[in-house]
Amino acid sequence: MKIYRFLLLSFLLIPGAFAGQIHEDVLIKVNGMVCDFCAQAVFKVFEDYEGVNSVEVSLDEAMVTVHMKPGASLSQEELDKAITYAGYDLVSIKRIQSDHSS
Amino acid sequence: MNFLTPVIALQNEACACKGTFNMRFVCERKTNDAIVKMPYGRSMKYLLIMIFCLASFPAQARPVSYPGGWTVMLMNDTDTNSAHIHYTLDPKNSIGWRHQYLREESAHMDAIQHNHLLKRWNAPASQANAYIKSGVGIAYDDGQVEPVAFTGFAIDWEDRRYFTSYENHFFYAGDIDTYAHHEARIGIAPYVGDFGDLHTWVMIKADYDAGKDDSFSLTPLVRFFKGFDLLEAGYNLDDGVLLNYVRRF
Repeated sequence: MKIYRFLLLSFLLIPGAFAGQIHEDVLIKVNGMVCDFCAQAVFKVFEDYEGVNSVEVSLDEAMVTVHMKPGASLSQEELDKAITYAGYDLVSIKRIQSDHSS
Repeated sequence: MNFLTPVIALQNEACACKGTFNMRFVCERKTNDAIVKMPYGRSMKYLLIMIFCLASFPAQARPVSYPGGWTVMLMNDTDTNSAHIHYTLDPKNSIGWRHQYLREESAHMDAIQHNHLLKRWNAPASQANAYIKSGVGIAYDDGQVEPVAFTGFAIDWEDRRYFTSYENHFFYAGDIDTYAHHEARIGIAPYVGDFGDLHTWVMIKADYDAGKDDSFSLTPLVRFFKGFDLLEAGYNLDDGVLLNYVRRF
């Protein structure tokens, strides 16, 4: 009987533990990103932001994808500043939000 | 001094790119006129203009990196060995130390160097930059010390397939050495890699130094970079070896 109670409690609590822990992926289209060696700066710039979990760069798509930590976000001004510091121009931002239970 | 040979050599480079860059085509036509009409002395002026036009140009690597970033640049060619370490203060300025060994004079130089990004042009599939690089310090050889001042302008353009750059360097070290140096590069990537791949470029570097016996030289070279490391190796047609290494931190 105890094991059934434990399982029932787990089903109820585990999804609840992640509820509200939305994490955000920011897709940033940039101009000027043609050189791999120079684009390494993108990592260095974004690692200064605590809320950033990881960063991906695609030269083919001229895109920087910033994976945020759950609950964290960067404003447009912060993203613009980071991209400018890395040496590029920000063209557009697309934010995709998802939660861990999905 | 025969300046015609290098003009023809560079003209051939332009022919190889004909149809790709309109601006190059215009410059090439001007150069053709210069070759036909101009005596050698005046053709030098056209050579420099043509180098500038042909090579819309990046130097070895950005002399201004991201704010807070360190860069080490080790450059070795026929004339000099140099080490430059710089720290980027903000998106437009870096400052650092340069040590240079002038082989012909057997002299050394130590200087503080400031690099300033004048302008950056970011386009969807290309980037261009213009820089000013200046410094002050001292030059020394056996028993002689001279103040040093230098400045230069650098401009570059690149996309993922083509690369061109031009820079000049005006150097004053009193009785030890004083020169004006011009360098232009044209490069092509045999394949286009994505981020994180090993990137390869094949380039030709043209150098002009009015004060030297062999004032003009061409150096074919290959450039590799991956991650934070960049390596260049080349062999000058005058038996000089080029070996450059750049690392970002």
